[in-house]
Amino acid sequence: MNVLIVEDHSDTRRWLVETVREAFPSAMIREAESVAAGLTACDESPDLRLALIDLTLPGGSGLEVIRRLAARCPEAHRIVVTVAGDDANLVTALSAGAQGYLLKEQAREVLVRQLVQAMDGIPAICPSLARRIMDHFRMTGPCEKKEGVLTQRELEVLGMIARGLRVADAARALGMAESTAATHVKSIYRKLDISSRAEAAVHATRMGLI
Amino acid sequence: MSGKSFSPLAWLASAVVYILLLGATVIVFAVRQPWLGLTLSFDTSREAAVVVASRGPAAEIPTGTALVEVSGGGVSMRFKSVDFIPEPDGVLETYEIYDEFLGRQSGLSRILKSDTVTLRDTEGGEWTLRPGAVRPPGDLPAAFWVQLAVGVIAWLISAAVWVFRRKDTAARLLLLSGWTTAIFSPFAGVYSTRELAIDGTLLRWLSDLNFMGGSLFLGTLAALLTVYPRRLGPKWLTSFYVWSQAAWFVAQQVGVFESMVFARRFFIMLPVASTFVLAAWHWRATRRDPAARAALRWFLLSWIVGSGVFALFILLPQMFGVNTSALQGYAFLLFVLVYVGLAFGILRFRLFGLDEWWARIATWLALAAMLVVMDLLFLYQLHLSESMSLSLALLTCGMLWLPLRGYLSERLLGKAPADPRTAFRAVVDVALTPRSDERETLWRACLQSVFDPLRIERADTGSVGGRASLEADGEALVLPAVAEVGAMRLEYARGGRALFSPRDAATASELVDLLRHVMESRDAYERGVRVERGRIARDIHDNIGARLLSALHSREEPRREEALRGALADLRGIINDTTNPDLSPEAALADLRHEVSERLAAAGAVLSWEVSGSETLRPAPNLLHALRPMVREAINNVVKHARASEVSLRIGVTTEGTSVTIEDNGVGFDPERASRGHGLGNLQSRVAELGGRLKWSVGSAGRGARVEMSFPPSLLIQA
Repeated sequence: MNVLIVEDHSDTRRWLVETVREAFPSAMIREAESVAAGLTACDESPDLRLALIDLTLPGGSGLEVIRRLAARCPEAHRIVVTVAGDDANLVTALSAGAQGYLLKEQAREVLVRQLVQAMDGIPAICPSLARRIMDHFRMTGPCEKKEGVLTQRELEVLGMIARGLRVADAARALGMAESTAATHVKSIYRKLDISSRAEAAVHATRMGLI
Repeated sequence: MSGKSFSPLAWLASAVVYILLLGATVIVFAVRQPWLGLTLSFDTSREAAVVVASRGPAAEIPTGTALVEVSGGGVSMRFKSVDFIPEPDGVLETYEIYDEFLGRQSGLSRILKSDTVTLRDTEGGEWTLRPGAVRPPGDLPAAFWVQLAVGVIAWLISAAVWVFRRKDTAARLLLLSGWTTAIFSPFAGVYSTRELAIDGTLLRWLSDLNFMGGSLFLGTLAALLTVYPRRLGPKWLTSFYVWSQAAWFVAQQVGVFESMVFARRFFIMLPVASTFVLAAWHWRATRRDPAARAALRWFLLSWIVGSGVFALFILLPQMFGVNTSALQGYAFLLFVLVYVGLAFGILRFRLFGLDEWWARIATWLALAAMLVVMDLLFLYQLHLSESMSLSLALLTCGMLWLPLRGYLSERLLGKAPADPRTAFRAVVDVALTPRSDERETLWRACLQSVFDPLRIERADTGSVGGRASLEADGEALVLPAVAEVGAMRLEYARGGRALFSPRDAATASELVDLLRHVMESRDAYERGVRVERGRIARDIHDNIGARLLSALHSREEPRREEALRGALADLRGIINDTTNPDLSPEAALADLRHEVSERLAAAGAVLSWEVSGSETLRPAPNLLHALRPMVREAINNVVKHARASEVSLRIGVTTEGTSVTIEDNGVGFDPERASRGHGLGNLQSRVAELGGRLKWSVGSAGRGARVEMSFPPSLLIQA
């Protein structure tokens, strides 16, 4: 399994490499310390399965790498690694095509668990992020396309998470399987991408570009 | 004088009574004449009076009939051209001709007083009719009423000025001029609009009084210019202008002169010419006094446009033998405008604010003058009938002049109101500039662009608040101070070309209000930023700072790591504003719940979380802050030592205070070890710092551990 780690801080990068090794002992890890190196890696390794991407990088933003990955290696699971990151940035990253995030300050065992869960299809999400996502959808307003709007069930899951419940707890509280709740979260992340595109389209139309 | 006991209103009432009596007398003179019902126009080529319109007794006579002779009471007279001149002054060359004219008028008047009057036309046809005993007032032409109105208005305006400034020489001269106007204009109205003839004696009186009034009027106005807007020349000059005209009048009355045109047109040109000289003199003298110049501009414009146009178009052509007497009645209208302008100029009483209004009068006057010019042009060159040329002139005026006039008045006034949006932006810039010294500079620039004053300086009035006010009759505008932006005194509006008007003061007050409002909003905003900044700084100091310190000083690697992670988690909380006191406790604690349940899940334990609260009370923000590390600490202990599978966390808010209970089903604790453990000691001291109590006990099911923290009601706030 090919893994890409884009992180400029060498200590953190090493620590991330060790964490990934612990989670996936058979992983082939490729490291990049800048946006340029990250983009090159995307182009050279189309068979990536997992990418951990820091957002603040020399020479630009990790968002560029995420977009390139989404275009070139849609198979790759794109996870943002951030330190104490503000959730507004996370929403932007999810809109750009990230499928999850990890906080670097967490204990390694928590991180390992979240990585494994992410690959199993249970994305990470926390209350303040859930709140921001709800705000985002509220502010972008009604979307013409059905796939840009959250369903009632998705809203319920988000609401639970915003109150501090884990995905598993939210699933239990709503009487659904954990995997179903996880699917909802993934779907919410995907819709963030769609809604941000719809929003861009609305802005473009407003400016008379389209 | 008994005048002292008279109020201005009483004086004004007397003036009104006087002019009513005068007006009534004039109307009686005009009406108590035999009435034929004819409007005649003398055709010199046919030596006959052509009927322009007929009505009443003469209704049978068709329009266009050329009448040559009138007879009645056994007397008959052939019409002569001289019988039809409206105004003898300036037309009849000598007093001899004047006497002859008056004699013919008496003769015609006697014929008209007969029971039946016979008119003979060029064809020899005869028209016999019975003249009416009186001329109906409705038959009097517009020119009569115009001349009467001019006299009435001039008198009333000058009286209205005088009653408030009875000791002012300028006002007295103005009153005199009004009195003379009320003589020359209505009296001329009586004889210049006569149907055919009035009694020669009456005509002589009216005409002579008309000349007396007119010449005195011109002399008085020249005299006025020697004292207003400021005194010019020696004192005797003022009386000279008035008395020389009076003397001249007496001289020509007693027959010193032979030529009547000379006697009645030459000497009045002296005051007319003098006014132009005096005006230029004033203009020079007031170059450093914009207020006086503003008043002068009024006076000069009204005078030059009104009297100048009259002299140029009525009096001057007569010197060269052109008969302009037909226009005289209407030309008197110009004097009304002189009075309106004069009145405002002399009063200096709320003079400002009327500049624009005056410009409108001036353009209107120009329009009227142009009308006359065009009318004359068509009359003399195109040989069109009078009514045709008038309508052509009107058409030209409407199509060419009116659009041109609008454009010109815009350009001349040059007073395009400052765009409120621009002013708004400028004021906002003033208020939002960070440096206060720059703020004043910008404020000055803003005022400069709006009012274009010659000078802006800081005013002494230290009063903050209040409104902008006019000073020195509009020479200056004083704006109150707003916060640290000082009070400003603006002098000489629009580059000294105008005075500040009450409207300017209102605009300035609006700007001041706007500035005040924006500055207050800015202060409120900055206060908010400061409060928010203070909160964030406190959060960083109290939480992250403390944790970093403990990481710095800790000798145990796991503790150090724990402290650093806690610091980063707090940082995340601060960045994501979960420490915002506006957040509900549930939302504020949601992160904590999530964090705790993640940790426990990683350790294989299940969390049950319960917040039971009061509707009206919630934990104070500082308690919520403090709770995070405490709960973390407690959960740490559970994860590390308890080997529990279930953990419950209950937060209860009651009027008694806040209680936090953490219970596990683990292996329990050794009180000996627990008290020595750093975690417990830390927890103890943190709880104590907030004035709370910490209690350890065995879990409710007889196994595991239970930590109870209770905090006093002082750490509660109203929701």
